[in-house]
Amino acid sequence: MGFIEALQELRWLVVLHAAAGELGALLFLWVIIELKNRRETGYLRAKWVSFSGFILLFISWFISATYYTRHYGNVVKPVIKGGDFAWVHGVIMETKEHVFIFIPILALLTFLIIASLPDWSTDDKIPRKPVYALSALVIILGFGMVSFGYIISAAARATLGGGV
Amino acid sequence: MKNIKVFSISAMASIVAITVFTIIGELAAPFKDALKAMTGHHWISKSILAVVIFLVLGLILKYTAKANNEASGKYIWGVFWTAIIGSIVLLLYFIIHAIA
Repeated sequence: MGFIEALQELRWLVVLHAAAGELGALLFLWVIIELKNRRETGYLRAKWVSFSGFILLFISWFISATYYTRHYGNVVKPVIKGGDFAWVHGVIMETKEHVFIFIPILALLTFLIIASLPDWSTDDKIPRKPVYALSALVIILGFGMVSFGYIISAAARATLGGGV
Repeated sequence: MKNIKVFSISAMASIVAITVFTIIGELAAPFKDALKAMTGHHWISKSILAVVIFLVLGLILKYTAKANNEASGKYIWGVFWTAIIGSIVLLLYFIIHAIA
């Protein structure tokens, strides 16, 4: 099996989607720490770490598109909808797939905002709290998606009789 | 600082559009079919529309809107609350949809 074929396998798509998304969201914690320190070098790191976070979340989005359109609808959705946990698709997956779209947009916006504030370490008039809040929101929504993904996987496994 | 205002407005527009498109798509099958016809899948179409609205509206506003440095924090808070409200609205909608 070649590399591309292996990547197209269901389990690797899920693993890569989750790993890129979790790491991308976690990078925004690093961003908050660097910004809180208010040092020039920390600001520069925050700028590029936020950009890296956006790229990872964008990759996660791209992978999820492949997984969702090629596998979820054909393989996982019928299993969940045919069992006792049909509500997991109707509520958790439907919410997840649409709220997920917000996250790369928020991550890109956070990078653009940070890049627009070169005087972060010296200017006292900069609106710092909303920048921290936006970074925290990327983390919270990102890990909210992780928990939703866990519920969806658990529902599929439970329906197939594999426990949770 | 002008980028903060224009891209915050475009992010809010993008989030509101995705929330509204999703709910309208669930309530009106022809609308969801139209989204599906754009790319082959409604979710791919919504994803592309989210990016297009964010970038195109942001670039249009960048060259047309006036800077408002004093209120830049308010625009960022606007995005923060729009994303939270959009997420809650979608969750509540799908809960109600599942119960009904």
